[in-house]
Amino acid sequence: MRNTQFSATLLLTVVMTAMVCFASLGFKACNESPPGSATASSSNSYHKAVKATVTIEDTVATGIDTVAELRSTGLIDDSADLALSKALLAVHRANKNFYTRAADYKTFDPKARAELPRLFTDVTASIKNLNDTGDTYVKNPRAREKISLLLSSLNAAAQIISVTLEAGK
Amino acid sequence: MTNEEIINTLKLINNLTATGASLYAHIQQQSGKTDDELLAMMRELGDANEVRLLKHIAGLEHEPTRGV
Repeated sequence: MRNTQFSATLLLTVVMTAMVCFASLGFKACNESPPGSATASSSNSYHKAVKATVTIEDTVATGIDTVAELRSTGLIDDSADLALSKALLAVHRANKNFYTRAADYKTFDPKARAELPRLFTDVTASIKNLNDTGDTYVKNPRAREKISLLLSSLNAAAQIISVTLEAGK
Repeated sequence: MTNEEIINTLKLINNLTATGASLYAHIQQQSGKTDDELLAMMRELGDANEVRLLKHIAGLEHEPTRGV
């Protein structure tokens, strides 16, 4: 039974990661070349990063619904609800700081390449914090699986931005 | 595998895919949008997320803790 649950979760995690990848980059880019490869133009890289930041905000919205559902079904208690909500707020704010600044640049010019990676560090730190919060507060296996799914989506989007920023250096 | 285990597995998959379907629907809305449209969409969504989270957190912080 545990193996079946694990397989189902693993399969869905892979599907979710692929879904985020395809949505942010397009099928061709996911299959044929790394997202931030040298052949990608600066504006394309910028567009990919923008789409990935939207995905992070979308995942926060889904996370709010998921936490509310977990609380209403009794799979988490108030302390977990509060901690997860604060962690989601931190992800949103770090992402907002990042995309607000990114919106000032239309391409990854040298100034953007110097500034955005620093802001992006806050985004990845907030995702790690959400992961740690889930580990600490969420004990129910079904609730943990749902939080894992959200983290997979956030990490996939963050990975897209990270590769794009790396390629822009 | 017993019937109960099969039912539990189906419930698990259903619950997980419900989360996935919701996110997929959000992501689909990104298709074909320009950078400016995406940024506007993100600001709107981000503002809504912030309001929902702040209200929810404020509500929890002013309520006595309930057990599960």
